[in-house]
Amino acid sequence: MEISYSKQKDILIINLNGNLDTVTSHLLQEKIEKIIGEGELKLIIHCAQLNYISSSGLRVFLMTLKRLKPLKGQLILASMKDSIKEIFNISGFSPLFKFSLDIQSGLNSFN
Amino acid sequence: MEKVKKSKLFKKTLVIIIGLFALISVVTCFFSGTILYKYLTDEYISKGTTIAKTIAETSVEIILNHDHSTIQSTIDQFLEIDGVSYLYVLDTNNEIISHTFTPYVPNRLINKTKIESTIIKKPVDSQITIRRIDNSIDIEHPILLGKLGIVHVGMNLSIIIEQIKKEILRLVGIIFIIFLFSVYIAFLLIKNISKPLIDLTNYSKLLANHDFQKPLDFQDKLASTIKNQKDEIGTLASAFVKLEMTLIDYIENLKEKTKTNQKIQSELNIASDIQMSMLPIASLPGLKKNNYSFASFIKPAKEVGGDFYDYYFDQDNQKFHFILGDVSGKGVPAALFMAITLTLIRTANKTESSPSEILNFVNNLVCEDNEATLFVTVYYGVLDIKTNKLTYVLAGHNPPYHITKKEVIPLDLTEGMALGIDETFKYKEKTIQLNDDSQIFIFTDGITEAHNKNGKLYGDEKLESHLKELSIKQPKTIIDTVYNSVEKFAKGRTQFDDITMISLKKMDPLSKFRTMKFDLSNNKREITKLQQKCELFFEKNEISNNQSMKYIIVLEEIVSNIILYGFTEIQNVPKISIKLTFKNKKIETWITDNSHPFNPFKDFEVEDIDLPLDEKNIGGLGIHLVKTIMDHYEYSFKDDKNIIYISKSI
Repeated sequence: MEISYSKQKDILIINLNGNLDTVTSHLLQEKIEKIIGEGELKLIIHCAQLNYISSSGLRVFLMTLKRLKPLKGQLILASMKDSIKEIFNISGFSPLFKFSLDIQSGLNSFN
Repeated sequence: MEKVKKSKLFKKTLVIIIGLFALISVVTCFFSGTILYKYLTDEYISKGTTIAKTIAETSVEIILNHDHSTIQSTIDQFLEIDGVSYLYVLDTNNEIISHTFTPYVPNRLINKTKIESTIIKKPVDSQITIRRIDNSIDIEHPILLGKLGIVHVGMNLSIIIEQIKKEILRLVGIIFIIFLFSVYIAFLLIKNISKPLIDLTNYSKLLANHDFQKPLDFQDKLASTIKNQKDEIGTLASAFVKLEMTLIDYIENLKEKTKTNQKIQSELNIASDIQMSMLPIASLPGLKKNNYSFASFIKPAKEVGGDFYDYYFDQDNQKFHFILGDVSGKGVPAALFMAITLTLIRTANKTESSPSEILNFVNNLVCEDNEATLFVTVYYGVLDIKTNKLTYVLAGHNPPYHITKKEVIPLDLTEGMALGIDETFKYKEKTIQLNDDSQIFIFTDGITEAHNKNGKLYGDEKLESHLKELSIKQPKTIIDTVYNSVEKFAKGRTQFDDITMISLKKMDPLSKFRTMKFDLSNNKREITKLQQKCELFFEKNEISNNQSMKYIIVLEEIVSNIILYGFTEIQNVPKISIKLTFKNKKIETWITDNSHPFNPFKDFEVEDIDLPLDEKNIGGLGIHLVKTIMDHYEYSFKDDKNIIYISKSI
């Protein structure tokens, strides 16, 4: 699991590459907690290179959402593969998240 | 001497002799005593009667003259006579005139009491009365018909009894002497009989522990018995000696034979080694590479046998030759013929490649100078690796089985006769196409003709049913299973015939990927290994990435659950075993772990996915994924292990 960042104005884009599973998800969780702690509230997680997600990965996304909510933060999941989206659907998480086709449309959807 | 005394035979004889003599003594004494008593009594009575008569006749005048002193002197004279105990004369008033009683007259005569007495004999003379009074015989004779008185003569019985006692004592003495003599005779006789018997007994005891290297010294002791005793005992003794000598000869003989046998045996063992080393053992990488599996087996009934198999991979033509043969007969002749045939086959298949041509060549040479008129049945098969076509000839051999998943059928015959019979015979061949998962099983009749204890044959049916059960198995497994079954069937019987099997299977190229097994420890990092193993499995089985990912997610959820929540009370070395299979478009997985009983499908509440975000419970999501993605899931606890079974059709 590789995690990298880029910033567009006040929006932080988190780029994921690899598998988000029992072994790796705590890395992302720690990173995101740190970012939110530093005051980043507009997040795009770029999932184009996310190949695999298990429930522990799903939990990290859910945790992120829970953290941002009281802080009036926003989270957009961009460029997610259909197979990963299907797992979101199966787990019933899809209605909770905002998805965008790519980074640009994600950026646009921030006010 | 001591031995004779102790001899039971002697004791028995002694008892019999004592008994016999006791009986003889009693009977003899009784009869002689009785006879003597009667004779003496008669003698005494007649003596007493004569005396009484004489006194009565001579005393008439004397009484008439009242000359009592003369009477007294007369009777005193008679008292001198042997056996007379008393005499007395009574007058007509029963008064004693004179008597010989000393020192006094018995009371009964003074008191004139009538005494109890028995008349013991009717006398010849009617005047006389004979009575038994006490220890005497009283003889009463009237004087002048009782007109003058009565004469009483008492004869002493105790003298008679004394006499009898003496006689009996003498008799017993004589009998006792005879008895002693008899015992001595018996002793000598028994000594004569039992000594050789005791010798024989000791001899037989020595024989029992004898090594029969040379005759026992004891034999000399028996020599005199044999020489002197021409009766049954002598015969028995000589039979014993003969037995020993025969055994010594026999054992000597046996030793010789054993030596010879050992030599033959060791030569046979060498021959067996040579014969076995003639058979190929090379591995067949060329065959394996092309998804074929091959196995062979041979077990001769004796050290050497007439069965053989052969195989070789013709790299240039990509052809696999595999041959099985069975020479008529058994043992050394069959083994020699087998060696010739095998050599000829190997010579032929270097130049010829078609099985019929090879067998034509071999048959021609085998028929030459076949004076022993042995013959050999052969299966010869050539597999073309490129086309998967098997061309074969059956030269008088029982048809091999073609095993597929569906059925077990014998190969068609090729109308060929056994090699070594007709040198002009031309062999024909047949060809069949081998498909994935089909197998050719070739065997000799040592299998089907194996006998059990009841003389029943193993038979084709039993073999076929075994092959049906084993249809999907590897050649080695089939061969091992069939051999074990035959061995079990024929338990207790020596192997009837050589047993030989070869089997070739065309494998499904993917079959090795149809099942995968691996173990994991209880470390979270093992999840990566799980993913990699499963990715390989799904890739080899050409399952789409999407399907594969979902299946792997499920496996991860289950395994991470076990790693995180199982093994909390660790007792064993933690081990999680995974078995994956792909059959009939269905992926099945068994996840087994040795932690405490833990049912993830029950112990986790299913997540309510419709709850609002704040109320969402993070736990149970994984199980929810398992239940949603899989067609089937199941938990069981068996043999101290948790087993989770999941399956999904693709």
